Amino acid sequence: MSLRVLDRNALPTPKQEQWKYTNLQKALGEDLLKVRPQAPEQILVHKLAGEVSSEPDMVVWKGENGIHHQPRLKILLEDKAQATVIEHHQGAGSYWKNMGTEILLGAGAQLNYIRIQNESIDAVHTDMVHIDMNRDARLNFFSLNLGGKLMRHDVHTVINGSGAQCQLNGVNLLRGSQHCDTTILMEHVAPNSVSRQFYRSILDDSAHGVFQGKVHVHKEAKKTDGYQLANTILLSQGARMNTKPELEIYADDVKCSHGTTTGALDEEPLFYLRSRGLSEAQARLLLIQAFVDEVIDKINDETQSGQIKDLAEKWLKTQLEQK
Amino acid sequence: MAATEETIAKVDNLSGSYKAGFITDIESEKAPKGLNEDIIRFISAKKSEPAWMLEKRLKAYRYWLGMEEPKWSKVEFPEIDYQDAYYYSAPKSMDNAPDNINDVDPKLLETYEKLGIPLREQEILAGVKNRTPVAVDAVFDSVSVATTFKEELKKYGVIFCPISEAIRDYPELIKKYMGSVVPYSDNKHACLNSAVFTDGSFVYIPEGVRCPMELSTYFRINEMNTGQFERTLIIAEKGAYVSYLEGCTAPMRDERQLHAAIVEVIAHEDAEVKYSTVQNWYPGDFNTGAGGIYNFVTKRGLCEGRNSKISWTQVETGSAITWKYPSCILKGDGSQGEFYSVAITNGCQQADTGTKMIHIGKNTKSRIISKGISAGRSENTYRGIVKVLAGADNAKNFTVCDSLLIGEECGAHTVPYVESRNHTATLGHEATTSKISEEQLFYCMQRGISEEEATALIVNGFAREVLQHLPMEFAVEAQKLVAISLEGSVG
Repeated sequence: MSLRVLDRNALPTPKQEQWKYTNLQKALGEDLLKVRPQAPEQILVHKLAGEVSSEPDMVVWKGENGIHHQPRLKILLEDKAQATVIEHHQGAGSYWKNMGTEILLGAGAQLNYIRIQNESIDAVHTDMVHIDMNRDARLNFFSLNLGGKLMRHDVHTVINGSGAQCQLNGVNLLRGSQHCDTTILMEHVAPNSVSRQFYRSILDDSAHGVFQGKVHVHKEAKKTDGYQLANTILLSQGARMNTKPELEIYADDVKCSHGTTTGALDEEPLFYLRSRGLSEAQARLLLIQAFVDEVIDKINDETQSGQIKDLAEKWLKTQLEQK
Repeated sequence: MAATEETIAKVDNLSGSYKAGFITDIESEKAPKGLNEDIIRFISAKKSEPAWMLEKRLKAYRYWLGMEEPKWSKVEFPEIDYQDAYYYSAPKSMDNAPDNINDVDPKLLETYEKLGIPLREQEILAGVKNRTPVAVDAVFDSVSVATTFKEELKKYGVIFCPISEAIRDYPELIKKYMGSVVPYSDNKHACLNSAVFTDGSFVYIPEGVRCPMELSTYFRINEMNTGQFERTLIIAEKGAYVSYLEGCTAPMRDERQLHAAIVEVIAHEDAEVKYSTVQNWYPGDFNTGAGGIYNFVTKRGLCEGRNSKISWTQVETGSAITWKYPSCILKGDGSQGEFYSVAITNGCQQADTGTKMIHIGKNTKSRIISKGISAGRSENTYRGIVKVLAGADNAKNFTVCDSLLIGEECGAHTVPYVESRNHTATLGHEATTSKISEEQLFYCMQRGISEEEATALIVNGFAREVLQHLPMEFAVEAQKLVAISLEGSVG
């Protein structure tokens, strides 16, 4: 299987996916010598058929100044296994973390996967996630992007079994001159599957956000139910957002839709809150918090969602206090 | 009920699919086959153009030679052999450019009558009785055959004439505006048009004038192996208003034919231009996809002045391949752009169409409503961009694009780009793709409506939001087309 192919290499081959960073020699040439490549670190989360783990598996990836990290995470859930994986990215200084993630869900397997990316502000973070879902598998994926100077998060999901349900949710909080790109390809190959994408971004200063999500419904994937929603709030004049939600559909009996909005906060709710005695700053904070929390609430685990909300609140307070 | 019966009756009436597929047997004068600088000189001489126009053409041609074909769209076709076509073809009888409609070859008039477009003014007036007539510029292959109500319009200061005439008579306007919205270097198809364009319409509405009648141009390709390269330029001065419509058809032939047009619209302060298209080029053979027109069109409007408005409405039913993105550059503060589109593909057709809304001025607004219907083995793509530049404070956009799939072998794709660089701008986009729901069909059928009737009813309802933006006369026409285009896809 694909996992075995990946075992041999530290990273997926270009043939496997639209991953542009695999052939580093070719991509970077001389520049590659500037960062010190580190031997690939690998972590495997493997649950046997029917295994239900009560405790979440914690994975922490650190970044060190001047290093080119090549972490690899594999999550393999056999039939009907259930697990929660929480991944943290942190570090100090300037480094490049080129991550490869492989998720394979067997029939009826259920995975909650929470990824908190809080790299050093000088780091480059690229992450390619490949997800393979079989019959009746469930995935609830949440991703928070906070740190890093340049981030690219590619998620490629292939739904190979009918009845599978895939949820990809994310919050991007960006400031300064951060650039964050989320690219999703959701491939419905089997019939009767459901996919949801729900991404919200807050952009401040001169941050640049990109969201490209594509739902590709193959001819055989009848009764597909796909939905994408990407909302962005721009807090300052220099911030930029590019959104491209795509539908590519080859089956007629489907229900697919998408929606995107980009803009500032609505005046009316602001006015309402202020008429109740809240200061402008309080009102704005409250509204933006509510906007972000809606995505965070998609996480099944309350402890986790609580912690993430705290992180988001801290970020928002710092940003809004400057204004 | 009445509406459904009407639709069904229309389909029955017009069954036999493509109604405009006949050939007019007429002697033509053609430029030699192929494309080179001599051909361009030939076209320019035929049109008795001033030297500066020829220079412009040659400049475009030389640039074109080094250009790449746009490949980003989701359409597939074999490489076009640009040397294997005629770039100029005109009925011989048009050689002396008859001034009077009575001198025009009756065969030509007959052609247009057959298509439902009388060109004699008395007949038009007789036909419409109490309503305002529509002024028509009829373009046949590479020449304009007749332009109706020219004198009547002149009384209001409105200029409505073939573009070749405008180049001779109004050089200052042409020099100022032609190429100002779509430069010759824009894309390969537009560049080719800039080099070899033949006819099309020129419209000038002076300050404060509301054009007293609808203007329209009817394009007909007749000759085999010819390309049609029309050029339309519409200028609305301060406070002016005009509603313009174009229609197009071609005979059924087994060879592919190229149609590469440019339409430029300029709206000054407080002016409004409403541009409607009912595109019904020959779509090619239903089963094999042989023949048909390549419709590669660059349409762009510039809202130059404050509070100006440009609105594009299109009903795209024909053509083997449609590649077309009518756009608005919203430069003036408070200007508005609108795009309403119904694109129907059936058989082996491919369509990649949408719009571009570029917000530059403050308080600019745009609205996009796109309905795509794909049936048979066709591919239908909506591709559009909404771009808000940093200075476009309070810009607003609202986009809806819905797709309907009929049958198991077609594809429907939605590719919207939304780019915002201004934090006070509000952009909203939503899209859906679905088939005609079982529930809707079931509801209609349990009320005694047959499946075919029910489908027609639902599709017309699906497209209504767009069709209602067409001028009255054409809305009826368009509804008919919607029904005919879907023929053979139901059941």
